[in-house]
Parts: sequence; C-alpha cells; structure tokens
Amino acid sequence: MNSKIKESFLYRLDPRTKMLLLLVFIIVGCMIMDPFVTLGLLVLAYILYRTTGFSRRQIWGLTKPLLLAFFLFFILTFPFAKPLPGETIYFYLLPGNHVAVTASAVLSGLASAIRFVFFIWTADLITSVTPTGDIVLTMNKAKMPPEASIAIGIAFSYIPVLKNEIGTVIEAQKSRGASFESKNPFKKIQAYIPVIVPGLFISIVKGREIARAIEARGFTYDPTHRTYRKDIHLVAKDFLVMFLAVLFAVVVSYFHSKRGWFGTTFIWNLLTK
Amino acid sequence: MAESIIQFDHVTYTYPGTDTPAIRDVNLSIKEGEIVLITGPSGAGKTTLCSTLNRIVPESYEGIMKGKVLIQGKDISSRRIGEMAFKAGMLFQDPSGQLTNPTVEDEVAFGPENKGLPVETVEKLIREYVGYVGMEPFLQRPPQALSGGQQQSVAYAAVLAMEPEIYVLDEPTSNLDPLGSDLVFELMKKLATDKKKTVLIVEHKLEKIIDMVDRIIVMDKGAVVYDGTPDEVLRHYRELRQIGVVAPQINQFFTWLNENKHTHLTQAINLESAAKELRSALPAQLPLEQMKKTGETFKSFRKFDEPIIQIQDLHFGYVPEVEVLHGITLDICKGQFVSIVGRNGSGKTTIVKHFNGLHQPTGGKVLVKGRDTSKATVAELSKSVGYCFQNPDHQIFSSLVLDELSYGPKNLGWDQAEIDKTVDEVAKMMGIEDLIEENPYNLSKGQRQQIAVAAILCMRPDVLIVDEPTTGQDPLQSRAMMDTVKRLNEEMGKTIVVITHDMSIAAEYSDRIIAMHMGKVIADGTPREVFAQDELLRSSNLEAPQITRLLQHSGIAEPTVIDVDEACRLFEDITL
Repeated sequence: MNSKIKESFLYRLDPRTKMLLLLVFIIVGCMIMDPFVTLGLLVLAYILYRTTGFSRRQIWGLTKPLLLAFFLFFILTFPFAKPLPGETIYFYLLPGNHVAVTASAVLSGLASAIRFVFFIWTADLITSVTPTGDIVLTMNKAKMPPEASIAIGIAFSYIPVLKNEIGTVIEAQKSRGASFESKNPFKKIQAYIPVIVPGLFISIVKGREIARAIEARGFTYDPTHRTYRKDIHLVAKDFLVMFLAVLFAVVVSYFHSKRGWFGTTFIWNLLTK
Repeated sequence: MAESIIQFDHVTYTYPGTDTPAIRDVNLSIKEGEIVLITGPSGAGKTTLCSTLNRIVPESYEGIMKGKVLIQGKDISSRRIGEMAFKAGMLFQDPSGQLTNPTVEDEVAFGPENKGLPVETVEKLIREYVGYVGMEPFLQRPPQALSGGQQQSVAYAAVLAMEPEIYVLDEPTSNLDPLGSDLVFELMKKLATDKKKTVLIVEHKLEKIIDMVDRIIVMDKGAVVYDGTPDEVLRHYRELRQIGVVAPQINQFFTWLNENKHTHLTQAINLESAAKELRSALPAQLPLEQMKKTGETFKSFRKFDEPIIQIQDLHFGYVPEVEVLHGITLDICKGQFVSIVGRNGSGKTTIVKHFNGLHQPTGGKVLVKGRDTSKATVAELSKSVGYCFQNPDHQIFSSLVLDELSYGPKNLGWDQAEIDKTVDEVAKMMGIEDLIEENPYNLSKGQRQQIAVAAILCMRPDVLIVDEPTTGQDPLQSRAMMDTVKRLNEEMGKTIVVITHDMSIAAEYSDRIIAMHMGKVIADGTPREVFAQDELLRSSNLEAPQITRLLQHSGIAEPTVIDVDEACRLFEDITL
C-alpha cells in the first residue's frame, strides 16, 4: 500500500466510522433502484477511491474481472422485469414473445449491474483502508469474545497465503493436462474440483498449524485480560463523517419512502415527461 | 554444577486412534543452560517429546500420557498450555504456518500481549527482539510478504519476546533454502552464546549446528537410542545411518581415518577446525602424482548428445519492468539426469516452468522435442514434460489412488483400456500396487509423494521435472525419493531434471549440475567440474558438499572429491 493511501483522510478515520460508512453505502445502495442515481453513487465511490490515493490502474484491475458479472446482472433481470401497464415493448429476447425488452427492464437491469459494482467497490475501498488490526479492535469494542475477533483477524491475514497456495494447485493440475477454459459453467465447476479439494485440504492443515502456533504463543493464558497495544478513539472528524453519513441515509430514506423517489424509472420519467 | 531444568521421568505418550506410543519410556535430564540437539528419522517422536514441555501434548490431542515431565523440579501435569507456553517457547518448522498477525510488529507483540504485560513493556520487547533478529526495516510489513528466512526470523523474535526459560526449536530450517537456513542458524548460535538459556534443537542438518551443541540425543521409534556429547554420538555414524541419521561428512571421514589409518584425529565440529586437524595429519610432501592417479579411477559421468529441451537466449520477467532470467542458452539431453541448484530467487523454478509452458518466454525460445513451447498449450506439453511439484498435497484430490493416477491420462483423452494398462504398469513399477484402492489422504506423506510422482508418470512423459524432492524430508526419505527418480532414469530412460538445494544429493545422483545465480547460469558441467569452482560457487552463496570443501581447504585441490567414499579412496594408499 502506498504512503499516500496511508496518509489519506479516509485511512485515518476510526475503523468504526469506516464500518458505519460502509453500512450506509449498503443501505442506500439497496434503497435506490434508479440506474442514473446509482451511477451517481458509483461516481461518488470513484471520487473516494481517487482522493484516497488509488490509481486508475488499481481501480480498473479490480473492475475488469467484474465485467462478466455486470453483464449477467444486466441480462438476468429481463426474465423477471414484467412490462408496466401500457409500457411499450421494444422487442422480445426469445421467440414466442418471451422475455420482453422494455425501458423499465433495461433500467432495472442497469441498476442491478451498477449496484453490484458499487457494492464491490465500496467494500473493497473500506477494507483496503482499514488495517486488519483495526478490524480486530473494532470487534473488541463491540464486546465480541477475543477468540472470535482474533480468529477473524487471522482469517484476513491468511487470504494472500491461501491465494498463493491455490495458484500453485492450479499450476500443478494444469501440468497434468487440466483445462479450466470451458465455456460450459457446469463443466467449468467440475474442472475446478481438483483445485477445490487440495485447497480445502491445505486450508485445514494450515488451520491446525495456526491453532498450535497461537497456543504456543500463550493465547490461552488469559484471553479476556490480554493487552491490546493499540487503541482506537473517535475524534471530531469521525463524528462529523458519521453525522453526514447518517444524514445522507435519513434523507435518501425519507424521499424514498415518503415521496416515492429513486424508483427504477425516477430520472427516466423526469427526462421523458 | 548446573541444576536440571527439564526432567522426563518414564514418559510414554500414545496419540488417540493408535496403539503404538509416539514416545516410549523416555528418561532424560537436561541441565540449565545446556544446548541439546535432538535428532532422528521422521516419526521418531522428536516433536512429540518437545511438545510435552508446553503441554500441547497431551492437552491439544488428548491421548494417553504416562510418566512425569518436570520443569524446574515441578511436575507440570496439572498446568495449562497458556501458562507453559511462557516457560517453554516453541519455534516450528513452517514459518508461514505460525505467523498469524498483520504486521511484523504485531507478530512479535502477540505473546507479550497474551500475557497481559503493560503496553510500555510490550513496546520495549518489540524493539529489543526485532532488533535482535535484524528485522527493524520490516516492522510494518506483513510477515507473509517476507522471504522464508525472514519469516522464520520474525517467528524467532516472537518466541524470544515471550522470554521463556527454555527454547524449543523444532526443525526451524527444514522448509528454508540455504540462505534462509544460514540466517536462522546464525540466530540460533547467537541465542546459544548470548542468552545462556536452555535450548533444545530438533534438526536433521547436523553439519550446520554441530559446533554449537553440548549434547546430542538420537531418537528412533519413540525411544532415545543415543545420548552423549557430539564426539561420543557421531563416532557411531554407521549405526546412525542405519536409522536415517546422517553424520556430517567430516565426522564420517575422520572416523574412517582413525579406524583405517590409525590417526588420532579429534572429531572436528566445523570445517575450519577440521581442515586444520587434517593438515596436521598430512605428510609434509603430498603424493600428488599418486592422488591424481587415484582421481582417474573416481566415478565418471555419462555423456549425452541428443537434445530434448533446447533453451535459446531465454529472457523472462513476471512484470515487464523486472527481468528475472537474463538470456539463458543451454540444452538438456535425452536420458540425462540434471540437477539445477541455486538459492531462492536464482531462477531455478522459473526456468523449468518454461519446459511445460507454465511460463512463456518474454524473449528467446524454448523448444521441447523440437517444438516451440510458445506454440503449444500446457496440456499438450504435459505429454512430453511431467512436472512433479514439491508438495504432493498441491495435486492430490481424489478419494482413490486409482482415480488420482487416471486423472492425467483422462485429461489427455486416452481410452479407458489404455489408461487401465498404464496405471497398472506404473503402479507396479513404483511398488504401489497394493495402495491402488486406498484413499490417498489416509497414507503417509512419503507414500503421497510416491503417488504424486506415479500420477505424473502415468502420462508417459519423456522428461520428468522434480521440484525440491528432499525439502522437509529426513535423510532416509530423501534418499528413497531420489532412488526412485534414479530408477526412472536408468530403467525407463526418462530424462530427469531435479531442482534442489542439497549439493550432496546433486553430487550423488546427477550426470550434470547447472548452478544458477540471479537469473543466470554461473556453472554448468559434471558435479566434479562444478564443485572444482569453489571461489565461483562461494561468490554466488552456493556451497559444494562439505567433504569437497574440506579437502580443498586442506590444500588438496586436485582431484576434486564429491563424496566421502572418494575421499576415503584417495587416502587409502597414503601413509599418514
């Protein structure tokens, strides 16, 4: 992680503020059905990424693998989006007048797809600017048992290790003539069994090693009275961010429930009236 | 006279689900400040014995424990692991399996934090011990992003920060390359001399630590079979070899000289003192002509001239900005047994991953049986080049050995009759026909490794790449694995490419050694030709076998001996 990110406003917030921010993004993202407003949220997330110090290349690196899922989210909405009363049907996707393509279906599909990217972006952004140790401290403040918070902390630290192990398993199976390129999703899943099984086995072995290692470091000495070298404190900027985040959620919620704003065709209707 | 700090009083322990005790009737007394080496083959009970000191055995496993373990005169049978962890600090084999915190600093703080020490004390301990192992520049780095040697140094600092009375170092270098091992051995020596603590070291690589231990305990099948000073124990090198403990080459050679040449050499504990001792026993005028003649009778290496893999000006980088292979040109010949040696990061694995297409050159070409690898898929190349990964658990996934062996041929589209025939032949050849209906996960690691090799052989490749077959193995297991590979080479005519750190193994089995350093080939020839280049090897942080270096350091540059047997033959007709 570059030093610019570590010095950014977002990185220096208390982890509880960042968790609240993520929660607000998720709630607001779930309430807004309009693709144009959702796109606005995505732009907001992009601005946050960039001002925090992430490069365009890093953001693209995260987004590129999501494009297939973006397309699937878009296309799979059509069978479920029934035409509104009196709505123009442009054409049907399948013969026999099945799966109608309408303005509301397109908008709904776009909203789902953009929302998916928005959720991934915000989750990635917040977890990238929150050190694992801070997550453990947040859970301790929330009165979680130390055994649980340490276990979650270890799980985060082990993601890169397991990623490396899985990479080696894939290379080992490729060397035995395995192919993971099938277009058929069922065949693709089947092809991955020789990767998943060793992956699970290695995870279990590692899990046992870790359990033995933390016991040998005295973790069971007195977990409830162990020292936490670092502590977290809420300061003025945290309260300000929390206030703005909650206000944002309340405002969106108010207009959504009382005025019926942010439905699928909210901006579309304004534009086409 | 120092007090006894550890006492094993008729200790027997049996793991749950088995009837055979892992350790049986162990009676030992270890004095405060003693540095003890515990060695023996895999499964001898070394780790189990050490794990009784912090109560991981029996508390984490249950099982049946008999007898008493006393630390500082007190029976610890009613103590908990959390408490004993601060009495007996334990460093394990695999560095990545014991680093659980997000940064180096957090890792070192973990033990003291668990003890509930004040924050200022924890900070002081971090500073002291991170400095002690020389890891200050990496304080904020995730331990998982460090090299193996650095990771083990961090784990070491984490144990030191707990300030235990007893240090148990359980094969701390077995998963490391020579550079990482040297780093950890240096730290172990530092601990032994600075701290005056009781240290128990479980280790197979005797030659690296023999000069720092006061006592050697050899275990076999759960029992203590030898216990004494290094001199007392190592003179039984032949008996030790029978149970899978290989004494350092200088000790083997000195015992031979004392027995056959009636010298009175004291068992040297390191290369420098051994060379001095040997020089004092040599005649003033060495019979150079006679030695040269004896050298002509030494093992000669097979010659090959039909290339099967051709590497032409190979360049490669994982990212465009950083090149890791810098223009390598060489041929691997049909039927040859080649060892590629070099430290971690020298490019050994990177180069061989080009042979089966896992990597594609960024410049130059690799031809396998005349075919350009850039124009073939990994699956196509796997018909000619089999790649056996270091850890069999990276490839085994089936619930039956039979299915595991059939997986590769099925991927290649063979018909069932052909698959059955090949699996049957390979299973017989590897001596695993009785295991064919077994679940691989119920077998030992050594058997799983055999199955991993058999699974690759079932694809009938002409070339077999074996990646670090001896890492993490005891000498007996290493030898069994290498004997299997040698048989494939001699009986089936397979071309063998072994990646290894172990120079003695490379010397014993190979026709040719390719030494790599920083993405370049620095030496390429028969083991004798490569080991003769002592200066060059040392400049690249590589070391010829200990016996080769002993004679070179004693002024016998020619002929170059590559094993103890040759050294003995060289001295057979010389009067000392």
